[in-house]
Amino acid sequence: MDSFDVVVIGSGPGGYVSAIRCAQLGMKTAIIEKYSTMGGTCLNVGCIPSKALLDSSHHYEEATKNFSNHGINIEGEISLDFGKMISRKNEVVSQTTKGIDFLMNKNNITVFNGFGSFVDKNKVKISSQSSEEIIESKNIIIATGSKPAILPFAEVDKDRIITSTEALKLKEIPKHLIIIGGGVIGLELGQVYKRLGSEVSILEYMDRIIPTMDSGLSKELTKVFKKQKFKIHTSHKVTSVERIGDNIKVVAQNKNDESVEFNGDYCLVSIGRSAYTQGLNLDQLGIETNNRGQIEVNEHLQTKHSNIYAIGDVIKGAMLAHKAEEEGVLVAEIISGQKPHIDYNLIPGVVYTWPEVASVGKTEDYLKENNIEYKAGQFPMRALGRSRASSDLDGFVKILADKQTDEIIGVHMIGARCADLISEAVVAMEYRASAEDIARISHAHPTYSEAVKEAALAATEDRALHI
Amino acid sequence: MDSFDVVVIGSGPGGYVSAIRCAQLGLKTAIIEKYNTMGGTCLNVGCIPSKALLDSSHHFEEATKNFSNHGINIDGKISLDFEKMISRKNDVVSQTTKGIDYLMNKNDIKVYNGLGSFVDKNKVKITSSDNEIVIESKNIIIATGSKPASLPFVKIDKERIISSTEALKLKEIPKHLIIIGGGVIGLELGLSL
Repeated sequence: MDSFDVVVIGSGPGGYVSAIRCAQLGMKTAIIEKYSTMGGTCLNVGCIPSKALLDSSHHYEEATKNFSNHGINIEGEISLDFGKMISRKNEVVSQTTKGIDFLMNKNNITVFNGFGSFVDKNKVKISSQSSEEIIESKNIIIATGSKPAILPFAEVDKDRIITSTEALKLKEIPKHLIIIGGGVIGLELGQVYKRLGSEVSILEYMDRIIPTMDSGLSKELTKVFKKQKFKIHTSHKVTSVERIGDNIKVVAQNKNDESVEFNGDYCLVSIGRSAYTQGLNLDQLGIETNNRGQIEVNEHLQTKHSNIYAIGDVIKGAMLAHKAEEEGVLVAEIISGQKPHIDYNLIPGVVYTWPEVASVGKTEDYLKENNIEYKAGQFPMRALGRSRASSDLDGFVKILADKQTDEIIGVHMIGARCADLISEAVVAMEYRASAEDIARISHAHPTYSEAVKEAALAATEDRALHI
Repeated sequence: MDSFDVVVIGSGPGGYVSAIRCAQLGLKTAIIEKYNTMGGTCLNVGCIPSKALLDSSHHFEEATKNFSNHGINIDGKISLDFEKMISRKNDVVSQTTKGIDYLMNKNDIKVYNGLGSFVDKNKVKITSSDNEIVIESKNIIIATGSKPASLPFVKIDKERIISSTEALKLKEIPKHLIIIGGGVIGLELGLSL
């Protein structure tokens, strides 16, 4: 029987990063993946392919809407080869997953293809179509991730009633795409198809889109999306989804308790994701899952068996690749005897629509609800020379700082390149910077990052320079 | 004679930002600019217009080279209206320099149009085409910036032997542009064109 120091079940960003860190620390490491390619949801049917389609569709939108302003004239028609767009996306995915094969090989990590399930607390059975074997390991890390959550009354037929997985490989552009759930996944995929010509209706249960983020961001993104002709219906509780031929009928209850009917040719169910532990045989070990299907862990991410850990989407917390990665590293270092730490308050959240939305720390809504005294500084992107040069005028940066100490407690931004800009805020907050600290740091001109400095100036002493 | 706590000579990003900060701190502030738009090299003939052209030319390059990879097909020709590209750049510059007018006004900074020169260590003469005045100030900040450097044996005719200022407003796209100097300005403008 093959024997390891660590076996990781699942090769998403949590699992494969954890395996690499274990190998770096000198542990004999194996990883188990049930699909034929490495990388899990993120690389195969999540973060990466959606970014590829967002990029292609952004180019298409620029060409059809904004090129003439730049003096770029197109004689004849701009047409879309959607099959090719999807195939470019597939190539991006394939290069990326092959990159993981390379990394596993380089770090001497044994890769098992098959479905992993527990035999006992030190043994895992790997079942594939052709064989079944059992390996043993001192430590086992569960990194089996999540699956799209479903509505009990909406049967996903993967044809016209779809999840994000299918939305990334459609054969045609929907005429009218109805999206249930105005969170990050629904909005990103919605924007892809809006740009490609679909009518897009978003039905959101809460009273605003991206409801977990700062409400200022929801408001600005709603404004921009309405300009882009999205139909946004908040406070709508979907009660039925029905397919009749090629028509999908969605019924929802609005806030006045009226029944509203929506008819489209595709319906994307993007109400979130659920932890995936099916088939792991957790019962055998007495490892329980909570009412959300998540594995309960202690602060060292250990299950009730101290040698079995769980990381990423399968435990509590934000379902984000970079959160899983941090946890993967943390567990590897704990196993090797180090004392790592994660500040979950400082895991940034990003929506890759255009404008991009990014956030770290406490929202203004949270500070108000909890009567925490704070100062706010906000700076609009349109006041930046860089924004005007690229005609990307929407959005703002908002910095929230402690009223007494000026320590930054939340940064919320929407605008061009905010997905990258948020890193500055994370670094600052990890070092417990004050708003004045950022205000006194040189920011290159002309860049979008100047909005961060200006918002910091506004937060610290209400002394922004360019507004 | 008008009298100030601070007079700034030159309204580029150094000068106008300094003036704003002086005003925020309660100092009676004036700024002198010899050109008819505020903002100095950066806003008028530097950072901002070059970024506008880099952005437009990036779109053009994407369209001509990379669109087919994305499944975006163009039946027919992609042609360039260079004049329009330059005029968008001019609009960006004009919005941006007007933004400085707004900021000066908002911060109660007195703006003088004309060429500032020292009379003594507390007096500056401002010369414009139609008049000449002298103002006095407790403090004076020199923020007159820079001009493109040249080589002793190169005479810049501003037509075909040009500096960055002219490169931002050419009438045609050069067939072969020879750039002397592989620094930031040469590389950015080289890429645009």
